[in-house]
Amino acid sequence: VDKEVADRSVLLKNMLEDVGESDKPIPLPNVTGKVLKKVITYCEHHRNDPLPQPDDDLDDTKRRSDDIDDWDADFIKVDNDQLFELILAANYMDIKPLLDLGCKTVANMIKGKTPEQIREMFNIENDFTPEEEEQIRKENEYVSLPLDDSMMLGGIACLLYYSLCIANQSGCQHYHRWASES
Amino acid sequence: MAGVKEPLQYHWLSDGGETSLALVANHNAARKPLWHRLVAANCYLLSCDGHVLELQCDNHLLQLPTETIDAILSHLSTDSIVLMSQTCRRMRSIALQNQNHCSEVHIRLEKAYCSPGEFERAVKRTVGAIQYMSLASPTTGLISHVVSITLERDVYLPISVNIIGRILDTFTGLREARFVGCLASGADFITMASADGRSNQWISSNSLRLLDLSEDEKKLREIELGPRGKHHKQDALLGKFFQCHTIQTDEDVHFYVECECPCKQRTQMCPECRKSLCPWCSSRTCRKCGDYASLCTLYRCSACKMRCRSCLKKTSCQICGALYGCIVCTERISMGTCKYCGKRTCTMCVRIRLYHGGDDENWSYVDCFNHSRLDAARTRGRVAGGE
Repeated sequence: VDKEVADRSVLLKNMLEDVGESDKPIPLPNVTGKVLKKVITYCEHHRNDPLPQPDDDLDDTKRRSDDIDDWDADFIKVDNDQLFELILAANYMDIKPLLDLGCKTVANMIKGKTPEQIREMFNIENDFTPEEEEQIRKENEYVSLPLDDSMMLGGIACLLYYSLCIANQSGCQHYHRWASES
Repeated sequence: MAGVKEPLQYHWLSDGGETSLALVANHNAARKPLWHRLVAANCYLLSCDGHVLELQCDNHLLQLPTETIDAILSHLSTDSIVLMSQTCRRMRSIALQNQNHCSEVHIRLEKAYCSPGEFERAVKRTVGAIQYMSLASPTTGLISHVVSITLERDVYLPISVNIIGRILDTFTGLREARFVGCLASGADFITMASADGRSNQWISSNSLRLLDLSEDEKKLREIELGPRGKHHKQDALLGKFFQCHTIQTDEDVHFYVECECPCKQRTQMCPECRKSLCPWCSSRTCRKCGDYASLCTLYRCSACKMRCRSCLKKTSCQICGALYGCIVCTERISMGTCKYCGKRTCTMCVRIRLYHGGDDENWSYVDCFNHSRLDAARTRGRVAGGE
């Protein structure tokens, strides 16, 4: 692999700079051969792309997820297992464009799904207690309530918060600080 | 050994004085691996041939590190983040942190919704969740961190005006609120906004600078091009196409409503004949730019003849920079003068016309915020008449 290709990974780039020209092995734990092959294929294809800048994260337009080009879209058509392995590898090897591609793909999978569908898709266990489920239900209906009712609900929420604060002793300070601020 | 993963190893190798990189995938140090070369000349990729032992992966999104999940959430709109927060505890905690740590929260909704009902439910769920979370943990100040809400649709998906009112009531730190293609009824909105001085409250928060309730461009264009025969029901369209702006200048906050569609609700008037300039109901084209004609054939402005809709917007207020009015006419009058305080102000900025139904006489004007009522039309007539 060309150094230019390896340099797409910030981890490798830094390591290679530290190690210099040497036969010393650089371990890549948690990256399987299969995934490493995919990673290298990606880096080979994007070898001439400009390197991501630190300010890119601040750019709101970079947060779009519908701007995946055809090659990338084809590249990332893998099963969920491999997708998450790729994301983990990209995260570990610090290859930001590949990590972004993985994150965008997962984001696109999530869009338009219900919580139940998301759980099913990603094998997420619903670990909410019945009380928490009830709170979620209220959240979903909250804006439908008349203003007076929702204010009352807000009051109840504040009382609950206050009670919790008392329960953990330091809460009074928090409450008074909050009350004085508001 | 099945299920055991050996680390990959990676070496520098030297090839004839030219440095190249070799990656060595070594899955089992004890077993003699079979290697083969894969890549280009002078470059070596050595990989394990076979014995690729897969990591046990349960397809768990939750196996990802928190910062990676955060990165995924950053590609989602607020409604999807809210839904994610309802899948499990860890996701809820990450989503809450994600929102609470933002000094500025921008509410957006995915464009995945196709029906008005579905979209309205999503808006309610998203806004409700943020409201509820904020009240449940008031120290976070989440509500005041909401600085913009963007509900721009590619298709017309109307939602109840009460939800829009509720959003504007609740998020007092809002700077921009865009409900493009979301307004079910402009008349209902005006009624709702004028009740109990609600619109004044929105503006007095001193942060709201843009409230966009306009129709989406595609829809507007279709209507512009559409036939207007005798079966045209203008009432059905009344008030559907508003673009409201609040503009904060150094001294004042102004608010105006500009109706894009029906002649009756246009705030722009010809200073000579004082009739509304209809931007879209004429089928003729603009003399100036060849675009669609803007002036209604009934209320043709004798001062400027015909102007297209885009031309009408090219003159801007000298104080606030807002686009308004017909170029020719407004260049002559430029700004209105308050008859009480004498302050010169863009007439588009200082008033909202409130329509109470019936004929053209049933209009009333919201006062100038700082200077009592401004009879802009009269002022304009006086200026145009050379008084």
